[in-house]
Amino acid sequence: MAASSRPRWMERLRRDRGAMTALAGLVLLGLIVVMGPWLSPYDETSQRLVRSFERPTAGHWFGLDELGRDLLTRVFHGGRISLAVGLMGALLSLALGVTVGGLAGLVGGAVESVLMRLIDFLYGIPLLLIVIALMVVLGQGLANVFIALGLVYWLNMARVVRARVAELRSQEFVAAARVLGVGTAGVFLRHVLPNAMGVIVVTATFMVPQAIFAESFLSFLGLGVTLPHASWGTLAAEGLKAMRSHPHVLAFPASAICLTMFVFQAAGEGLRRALDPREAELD
Amino acid sequence: MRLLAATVRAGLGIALVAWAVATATFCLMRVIPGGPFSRERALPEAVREAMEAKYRLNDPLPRQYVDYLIDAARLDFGLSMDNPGRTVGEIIARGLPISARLGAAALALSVGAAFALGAAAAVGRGRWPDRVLAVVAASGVSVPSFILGALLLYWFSWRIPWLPAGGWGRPSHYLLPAISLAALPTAYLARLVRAGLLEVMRSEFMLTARAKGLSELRAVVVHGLRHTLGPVLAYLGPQAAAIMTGSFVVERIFNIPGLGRMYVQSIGNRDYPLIMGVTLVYVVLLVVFNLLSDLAARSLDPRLRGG
Repeated sequence: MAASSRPRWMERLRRDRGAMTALAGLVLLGLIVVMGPWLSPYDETSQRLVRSFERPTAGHWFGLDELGRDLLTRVFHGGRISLAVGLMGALLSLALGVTVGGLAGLVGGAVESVLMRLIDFLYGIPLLLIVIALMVVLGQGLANVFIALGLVYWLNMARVVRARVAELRSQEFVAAARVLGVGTAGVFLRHVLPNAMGVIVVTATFMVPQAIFAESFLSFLGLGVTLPHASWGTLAAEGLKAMRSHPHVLAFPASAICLTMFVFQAAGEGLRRALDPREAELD
Repeated sequence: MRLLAATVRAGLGIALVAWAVATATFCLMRVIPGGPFSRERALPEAVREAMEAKYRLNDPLPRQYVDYLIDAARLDFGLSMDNPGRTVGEIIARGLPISARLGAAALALSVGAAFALGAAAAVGRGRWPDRVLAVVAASGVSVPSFILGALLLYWFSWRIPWLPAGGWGRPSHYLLPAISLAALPTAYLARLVRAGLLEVMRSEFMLTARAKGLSELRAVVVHGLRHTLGPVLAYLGPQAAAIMTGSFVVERIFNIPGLGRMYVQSIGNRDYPLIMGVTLVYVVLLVVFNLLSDLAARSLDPRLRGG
């Protein structure tokens, strides 16, 4: 099934103009964030206080911030932090969620019902509230943002993976592998996981913008990354304070956040249409 | 009978959640470095004495825990550390009604807009109303509430001075913050309404309605929308959660003296009794709201009652 469905999803993806545009946008975003800081002639930290809040010019496309730093350069660097938070948050929750969800779905029985009860229970509490509580306990900082997001956002992944694995568990090819003497771990890694890959990739793609959003929210509350790091959320929170007289300091980081969220959401939807057409019926 | 059993189970669930969160807050308050009970923190003498008396810090830990649970059950969360002489309960009682009213306005706005947009998009499938919904849905999920709030504030109270830039008391104070909070739920619910309607429109009773000579719009409004109410109700819980967390930032942007802004302040000041009290109130309120929306959806839609 895995082998024969692969060309089909790639074919579906290739013909989906929206999805391809979104994926191209993702690649472009990655390039900008990786290359941007190298291409920029300015330093992220060099201050010129006399030129505080200068509006965008030919020399400084995004203008200058309160301390006279080049805003474009800061947005490039902030993108690195924000995307790192998004990707790390998604990866951590991917690892935890796939492990717990896969275990619950494959083992079944009491383990499954206890784990899923626990997840349902935590799910009733708004995730962002738990993240905030964790950040209050752990303290600010980039590593703690990773940890807090990873510890909380795996719940959704575990639910999705459990449902898919439980569905696969009862299928004939899994039973056949068991009969042939493949162990639980082997069944999971070689037979179940490849077939659950579609939902996992789609869910992980949606997790990145969630993590970026959560981080910008935390930064706004003063609970996000700390100096010397500045994410888009940090920049937007700084910009909010000065936006009345200097709207450009908010406009650029805010647009970066919104565009990134949009591109990831669109890519997620596109991947879902290609990888998981049953679930994408909403449209 | 089933509904009664579900209600009882729901009540037990709420009690369980409240107990778990209260226990977690009890443990956290005694674990956090620089927390309220560590001696590093310089406190006004009056606050320290009041706190030692209040939390009976000389009692054995299990005793403290039981007392804490009893106090929490009586909605007594102790004294705020940064507002000397004010209890957490008083602060919550002052802020919660404001936030609840704003949240209710945002929820009503999003449900109304979702039905209007969803119905228009389903009837005009593939034409411009559908595209309007697509744009609203895309921006709803891509623009965080604090950015939307800032944008609305900048354009509609500063550049074009139509609406007050913040504050609380008059009806005009509701509009911009409510829109900022409603955007995300609207995007989500409108797609739900559209998908539900498209499914219903293929059903036989809709064919009958049309055969009777009802116009497409009337058929959708009179017969179709009822059937999307169930899923919308079932998803109101998560939407309320989104509005609640959104209020943390939106209340600050629009300078609204609600619970959300106090919560953010308490985090900034590390006012642990206030943080923990408000968290507990939020969690219990949301779990209750989730259960209510779930019960309402079940009682409305017999197909959901199986589970």
